[in-house]
Amino acid sequence: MCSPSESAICRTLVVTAELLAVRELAVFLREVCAEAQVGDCEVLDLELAMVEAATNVVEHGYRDREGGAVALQVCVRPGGVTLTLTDTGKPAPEGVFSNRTALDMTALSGRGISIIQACVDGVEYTSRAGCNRLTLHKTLSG
Amino acid sequence: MGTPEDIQVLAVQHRRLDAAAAPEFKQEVEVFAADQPTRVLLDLSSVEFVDSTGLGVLVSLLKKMGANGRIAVFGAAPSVHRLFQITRLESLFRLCTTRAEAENVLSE
Repeated sequence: MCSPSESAICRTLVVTAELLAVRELAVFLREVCAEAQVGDCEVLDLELAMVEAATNVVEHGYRDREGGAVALQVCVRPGGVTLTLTDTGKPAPEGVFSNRTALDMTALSGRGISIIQACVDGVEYTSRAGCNRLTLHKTLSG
Repeated sequence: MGTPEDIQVLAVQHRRLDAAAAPEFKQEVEVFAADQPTRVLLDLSSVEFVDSTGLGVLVSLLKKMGANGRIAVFGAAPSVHRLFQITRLESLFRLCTTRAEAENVLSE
């Protein structure tokens, strides 16, 4: 919950962990960013990063599990946007969001993490008591 | 003037080339690639968004076309341009502003 003393817009949407629902998260993200007047370039990067992250949760975190949920919180504060994705699926492998590995350009898959890292300025991941939380920070210019 | 006969056009109709659309798009690409095209005009003017899964399908098309295969893209939305830039695939897929420019690139 954001401090009422900060000038911020914070909204949360929870969806079923399905690939089509990732599109709902994207629409929601764009709506919050539009409300907060986030610049187009930043919105592009945020949507790319969020879609990659949410898709990973659906495809890997909830693989072989039905009925899971993904929550996306979008917080826009002066100077930055924070996206927080929360799920209760299988945790991501340790260090996956902090490692940077070169990718074969002709690879058919495996670009998701590097895209996330390229699109945002900070990535934090925690997994505690069955709850996984990925936080993405994007600095806003101007 | 029509497209030169040795250039095949793939006009993608999916609004979002994401993980949800990828299985169907992959099948469409496999059907398209069965003709063994070597020069492809990729029309992305109906596509608003591509993620890494959709991009993987496009890369698979390029691989199916072999070492001499070339793809020129036109109609890419800003987010698609950004994705190609981040992944450095601009060197494999020639991004063009117009269809005419893309045809010229493939005719070089």
